[in-house]
Amino acid sequence: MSLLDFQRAMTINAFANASNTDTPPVTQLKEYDSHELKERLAIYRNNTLHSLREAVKDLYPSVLATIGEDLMKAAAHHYIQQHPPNSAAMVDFAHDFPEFLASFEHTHAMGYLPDLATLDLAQHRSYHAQDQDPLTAEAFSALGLDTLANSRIAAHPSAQLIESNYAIYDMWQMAQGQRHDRLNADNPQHILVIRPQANVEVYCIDQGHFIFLSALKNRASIAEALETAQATTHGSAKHFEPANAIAFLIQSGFTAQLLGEQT
Amino acid sequence: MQINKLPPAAGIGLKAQHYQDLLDHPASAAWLEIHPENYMGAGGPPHRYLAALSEHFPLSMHGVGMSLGSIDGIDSQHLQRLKTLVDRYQPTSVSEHLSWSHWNSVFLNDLLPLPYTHESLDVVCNNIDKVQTTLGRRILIENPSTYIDFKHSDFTEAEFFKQIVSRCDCRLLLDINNVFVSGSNNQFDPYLYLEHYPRQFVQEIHLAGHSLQHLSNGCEIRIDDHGSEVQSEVWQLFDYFFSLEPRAIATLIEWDSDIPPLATLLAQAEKANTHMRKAVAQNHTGTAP
Repeated sequence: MSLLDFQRAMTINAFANASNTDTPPVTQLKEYDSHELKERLAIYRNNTLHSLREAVKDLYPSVLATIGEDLMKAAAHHYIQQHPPNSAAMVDFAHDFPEFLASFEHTHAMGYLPDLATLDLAQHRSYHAQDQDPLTAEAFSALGLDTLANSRIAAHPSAQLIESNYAIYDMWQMAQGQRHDRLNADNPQHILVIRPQANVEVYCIDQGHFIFLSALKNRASIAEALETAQATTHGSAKHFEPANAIAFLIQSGFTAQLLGEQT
Repeated sequence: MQINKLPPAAGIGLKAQHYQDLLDHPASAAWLEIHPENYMGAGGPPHRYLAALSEHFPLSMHGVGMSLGSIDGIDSQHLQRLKTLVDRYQPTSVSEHLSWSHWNSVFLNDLLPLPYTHESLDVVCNNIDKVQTTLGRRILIENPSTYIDFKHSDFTEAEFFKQIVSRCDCRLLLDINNVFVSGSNNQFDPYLYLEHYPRQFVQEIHLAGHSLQHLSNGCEIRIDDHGSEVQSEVWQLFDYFFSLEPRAIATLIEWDSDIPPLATLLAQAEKANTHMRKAVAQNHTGTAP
């Protein structure tokens, strides 16, 4: 008998669809009656599928709260069969579940769901990101105005910016039981997820702040980022205030370090 | 190679729910065990707590993802990530399972059984060798809990472990609950198993709870789910082990699902210490823990 055949058969069987009939038989086992063999093998298959389904549920709590246990279980099950993990570190698992939700037949009509899943994933990534003390308010205030304006920054390793056409911040709050009123799902929202120290913070931010922080993340200077935000939000209902944007930049801990002035 | 030993007393598995409680009570457990896979993120609270706790407690890294029995070998990236953790936290002990969990880069997130054949022995020994060489230290290998048996084997599990230790210069982690569970599921006598097992190489023992299921033909299956207190038959087997091997050994209380308050884990650890002290004293004139 070959160890290769056994491991191949067990792996394929673990992730096979129940209706799939061309899975290789596991032939190396003791001769149980066929029903007992099936039940014993099912213990392994269930261990794999159950533990991975639980991992998906843990990673996407807002999606779970929004679509409910049954649909989540079905979505996670189909996802796992199509995307079995390739790493033993569960911290890496199911990062493409948001894209899967966009294509899964029972969730693709919920246009907001992939973005809500992205918000869950952003919190997971932020939680596990490299630790770094952000630049303090004192360090900022020690800079001259010109130096500050011309500086570029490295964004904090935990910082994740999300732009959505849907009210995913409100949905996230609702999923957490923090709000119970009716919400308008079609209200676009912008979000910063960040963990400057121990706790992951989730901020719903103005579009202007989103554009400002995104530009900084892409290594624009502070002056350039302010300009881009101002130009893009010109004429929109929400006026962009550079002073507020700078204050939020400092207070949120978004800056890991100054990269020096632009030359 | 580097040989370190955990304190010869009961330790507990570290769970996120108990991080702060353990920091507040740094003398509560003799040592802590983690699954290194849970600390393979770059940073964040898990590392903050682990760094703080490792100042107070000896640490054991007990892997669940190395897949020592995989025919396609060790995943180099996973081994490198383990090495990074071992270098960073300098654990007293590093251990893994006699099982496999990936094939063709697909990871099953479970510990699957191996037939105990010459072919498996070569695969396992090559893989252990690669891990020990990369880490620059001996690791302990744990016996699995199994739910199926094979048509053909060249060795019993106990003999297979004898072969491993003679070829690999590794040491052993004996999971007493797994011996009981596998014996019950696959009709072997757990007491005879302990008699034939190379006990002198044991540097750590695991104890855990398991549950009982019935197959539709009435056959009893014990599931190693680590979600309850250690069962009385397992305590008896634990005592029997010390009648054969009367020396105090680092013993872990594993509890991984339905995790109880820290006090429950510590009470189980204390019970293990009491059993071990008594059994060692009865069977040996040497010092008890």
